[in-house]
Amino acid sequence: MTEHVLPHHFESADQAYQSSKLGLFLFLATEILMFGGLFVAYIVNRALYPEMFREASHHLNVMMGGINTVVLICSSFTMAMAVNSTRLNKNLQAQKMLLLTLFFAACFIVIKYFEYTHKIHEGLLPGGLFKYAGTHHPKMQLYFSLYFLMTGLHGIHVFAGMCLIFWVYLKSRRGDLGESYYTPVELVGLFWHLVDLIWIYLFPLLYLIG
Amino acid sequence: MEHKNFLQEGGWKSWFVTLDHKKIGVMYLFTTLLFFAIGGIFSTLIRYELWTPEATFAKDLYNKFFTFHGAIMIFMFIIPGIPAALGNIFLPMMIGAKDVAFPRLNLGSYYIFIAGALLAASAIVFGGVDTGWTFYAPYSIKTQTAVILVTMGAFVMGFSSILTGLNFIVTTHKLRCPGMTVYKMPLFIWAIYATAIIQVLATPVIAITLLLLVMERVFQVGIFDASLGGDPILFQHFFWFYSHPAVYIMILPGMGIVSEVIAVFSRKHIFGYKAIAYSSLAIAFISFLVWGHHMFVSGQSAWANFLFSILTMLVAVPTAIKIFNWTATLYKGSIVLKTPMLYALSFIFLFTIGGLTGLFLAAVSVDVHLHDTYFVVAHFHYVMVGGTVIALFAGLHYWWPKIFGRMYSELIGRISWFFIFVGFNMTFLPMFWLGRQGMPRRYATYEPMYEGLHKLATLGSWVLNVGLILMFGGLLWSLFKGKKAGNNPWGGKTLEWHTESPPTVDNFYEIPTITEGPYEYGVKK
Amino acid sequence: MMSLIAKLPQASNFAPLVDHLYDFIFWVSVVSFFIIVGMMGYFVLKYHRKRKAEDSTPYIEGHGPTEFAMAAVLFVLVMVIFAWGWMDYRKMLHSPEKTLEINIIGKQWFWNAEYPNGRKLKDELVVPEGADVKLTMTSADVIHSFYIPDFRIKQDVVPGQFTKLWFKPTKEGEYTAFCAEYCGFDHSRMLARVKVLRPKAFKKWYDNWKDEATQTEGDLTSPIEKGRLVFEAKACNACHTVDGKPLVGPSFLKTYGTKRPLEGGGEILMDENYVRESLMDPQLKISKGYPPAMPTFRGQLTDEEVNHVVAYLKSLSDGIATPAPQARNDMVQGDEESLEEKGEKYFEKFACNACHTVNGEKSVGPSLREIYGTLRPLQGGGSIEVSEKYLKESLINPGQYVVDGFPNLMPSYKHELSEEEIKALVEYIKGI
Repeated sequence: MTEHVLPHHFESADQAYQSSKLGLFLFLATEILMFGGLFVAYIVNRALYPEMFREASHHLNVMMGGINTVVLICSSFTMAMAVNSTRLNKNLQAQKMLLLTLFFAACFIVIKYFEYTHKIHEGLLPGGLFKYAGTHHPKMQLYFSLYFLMTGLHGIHVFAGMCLIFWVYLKSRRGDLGESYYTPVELVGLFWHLVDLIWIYLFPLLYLIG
Repeated sequence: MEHKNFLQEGGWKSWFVTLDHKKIGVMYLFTTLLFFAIGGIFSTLIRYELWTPEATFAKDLYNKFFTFHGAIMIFMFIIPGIPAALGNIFLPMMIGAKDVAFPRLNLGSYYIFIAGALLAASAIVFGGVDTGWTFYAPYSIKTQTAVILVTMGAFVMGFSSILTGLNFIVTTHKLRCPGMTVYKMPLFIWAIYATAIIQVLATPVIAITLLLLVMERVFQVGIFDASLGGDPILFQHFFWFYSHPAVYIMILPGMGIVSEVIAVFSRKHIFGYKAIAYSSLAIAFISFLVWGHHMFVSGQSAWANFLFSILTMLVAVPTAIKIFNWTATLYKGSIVLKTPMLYALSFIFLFTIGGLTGLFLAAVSVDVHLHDTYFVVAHFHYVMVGGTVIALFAGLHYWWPKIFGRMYSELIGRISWFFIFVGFNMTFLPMFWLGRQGMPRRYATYEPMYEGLHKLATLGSWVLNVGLILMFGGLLWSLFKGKKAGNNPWGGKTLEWHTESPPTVDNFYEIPTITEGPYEYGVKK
Repeated sequence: MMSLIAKLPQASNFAPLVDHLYDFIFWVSVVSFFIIVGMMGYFVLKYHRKRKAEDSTPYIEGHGPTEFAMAAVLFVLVMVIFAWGWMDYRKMLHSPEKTLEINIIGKQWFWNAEYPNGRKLKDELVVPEGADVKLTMTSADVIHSFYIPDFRIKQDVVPGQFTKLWFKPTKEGEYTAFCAEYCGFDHSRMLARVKVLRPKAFKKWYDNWKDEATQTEGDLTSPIEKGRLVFEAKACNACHTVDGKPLVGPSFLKTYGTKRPLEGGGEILMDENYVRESLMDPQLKISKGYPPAMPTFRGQLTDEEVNHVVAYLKSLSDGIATPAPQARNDMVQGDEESLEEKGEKYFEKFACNACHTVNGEKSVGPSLREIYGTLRPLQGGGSIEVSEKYLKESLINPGQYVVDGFPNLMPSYKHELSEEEIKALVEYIKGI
């Protein structure tokens, strides 16, 4: 691999690695707080309208959501494998794992695409756009506002994660990563695990409250 | 061997792509001071309107003036202010490092800040915003002004704040030079560190709040809008959950500067180092628990009022400890009243008033009368301007010779200090009485009985402006004509004084090893 | 200039309490301030470098006991202030049993008050000295706040909920109420006169209002009676009786103020908030044993009508039998008035005249004199014919077509006006 040049303000590779890791954990904390705001909005409104939440949840496809959950968990696994392979200098293996992770992430996006188009078709849209024809609780547009906000923000993070994973893949291809320097793949891996974790909370809260 | 100093390194174009924390800090300094001037123009317009009880400007124009004054001062000046400017320049130096942990992220933060500021400022061209900087729903949902531009600008600037905080936390943890245990760090570092924790944890909440507000306006989500069954008070909870800790982002770095200046200019070890250090952390922690004291009359539950009032009282204790300790540091010191010290002592004077007036507002029954009156306006200007801005001026004069290698004019420094101190008190002290007498805030027109005090305040604002212009003029003048400064004009003991004035790019020729604390002044018995 | 020296009058039962604590905090602050600044000034003078050489300062790291003692004293002081403030506040929270209840509706940018006997005031409140008064308040649009400095009371007025405020005026006179939560364009002008009358004078004022022609409406019915009329007009009685017999929905005899068991468990107190919520979102908290069949009345009842229904339901618990319709000739004016006359009344009632004149004078909004059928230039170019459609649209979605040269400030009346009221206003404007 090409030797990674240590930035001049760091004294050692270990110091650089530890700093990067701490920095990423702090960033993950900010992500948790930002999503946290949405979770608070969810909790407050579910406490006010529990019946409505149950009824609205029935409009979501539990199977598709379930498959997506499995897909993301698999992607976290392949991601962890990619990090591990890089640490062991098995770069070809790492690249395969990264591509597999991207594949799973793409599956997630595709399934979400089908879910979203179905909702749009049914008129189950956020806020003022809500146009569902069947009988429904008068407040249901609130549920779908939260649904689109939460899964939408999550989806943006999935997409950003995909870009980062692809960037790491290119770095690995170029020979920048290996046993002595694997910081980028580890940090992206940690970010990806958080994206997965957030979905693991979203899924039961949105899909499984019927 | 002649080493170039950091200002001379690279041509003028190098500033746009620099990774040097000092250059980035200088850019933040001039940018935030520019925004301070713009925010100040709006405040001059406000005081001009309030010269007479009747309307001078069209009323919706006045509403836009106070909105921009607040939003610009808070998001574009005082929150980035001391941390991004002085913190960026001095945090690495004071811990014996060559740079912050993530220099590229640092430059990125600056550009994100500029992008957000431009986005927010563009609202001026698109009809302005008239919601007040607090954007309360449902008015902020219904008003036909450029709310989305300003809120999304603040959203973007928030990321700059988060990334700066993140950078500072990692730098403090990982890049301290050998021998610098946490108890040998200067108190300015403790202050910046506590601030950074708040920046990282609180700012994401305002991000999601403003995003939700935009969603309300665009998609009628129905979460804050009462006519769609939402709860406007929920917006207030979300908003103040960030905005209360935010005021501690503003004050803690200022307190850090005061600790440095008082010790150096009385040549004494700071009194109660650990108490001041821990109190910074305690204030940061408690700051997350008191947001509801902005909402005592909002219609929230009595139980909430009880909790928030008692917790707010708690924050007075670590704050008072600091004030006591700074004053005690002066005891048997050898005090010289150079400009930085004048400002540091003014901080104690003005912030004490600001802090004590907070007690009135923390007591629920009294707050019922004083909430949303000029008493509140006076209180927060005393802590934010009399506190943070005065501390910033102390830091500016203290570190000016170090950053630019030039001494400011002590005469201009002292004269401008005098105008600022007198002008500030003249402007804001009458407002406590105005509030007590029932004058509400955000009023363009008022009952004639309040006219005398308003005229006094407006005159005070002009005295203050004279002082500010003098001060900035004097500092700018010194860049070209000031006497060249030595490496350590004040005899300070913190690490930045062990570098050149201005410092070289890498700060130190070799990374120092620390054996003693930063305030080893005085004769040991 | 008086306000520069003279203290604010104490005109309510709470004023002396608040002032007393304020003064205590004031003196604690003054003493603390002088101790700190005094110490600071003294040290600066005594230990100035001219008097104390810079290499002769002692090495003092701190003094734990002093710090701790100071912190402890301060802690006790602030806890005393907290407790005192809290105990005074509890008195503000718990209103006495018997109060004069006045409904307040805050709107951009004026205050509407309605008394139990139906009397209405705009930007004015009249209260008796020495009697307990309770304000039940809501907003028709954005958050306002009702603040009477001389009484030392304040409470935010929030749309979609009721908030309450109580006080006992203790001094005859005239005072001012301010809006204390920024609410847009005319926030600074949203004031009300508060008149405190001696009890006899108040009784005279309260009882004899039918003989004065000072109100914005000549309607003489009490809110309770009005509520009964709404109850019939909106066909509530199709599902709810008032005699105790359950129908599709529960009967309302003696239910207001009691705890109602809910479907799905739990119970709720039947107060203004629950009644309002049931009218707007009936599916949320259904009475136990009843089907979820009640439709929503959102957009069909004004805030005032909601207040009247509440008053009516309350009366069914007070033991006041539903009053027989009173034989006053001008009781129900509606049927004799033309649509245009009604529109003229609504024009004032809904404060259109706050921004639109009818005499040709330009104000915040354009004058409405002789506009019907004309072509008006629009902001952003183009023009529009002032038709019935345009007038109706301007009430519901005013931001859509704004007349050139005027600010885009008009609030929407989508939720405040019924179809009938809109028709009446349009007829009226056509005829100006």
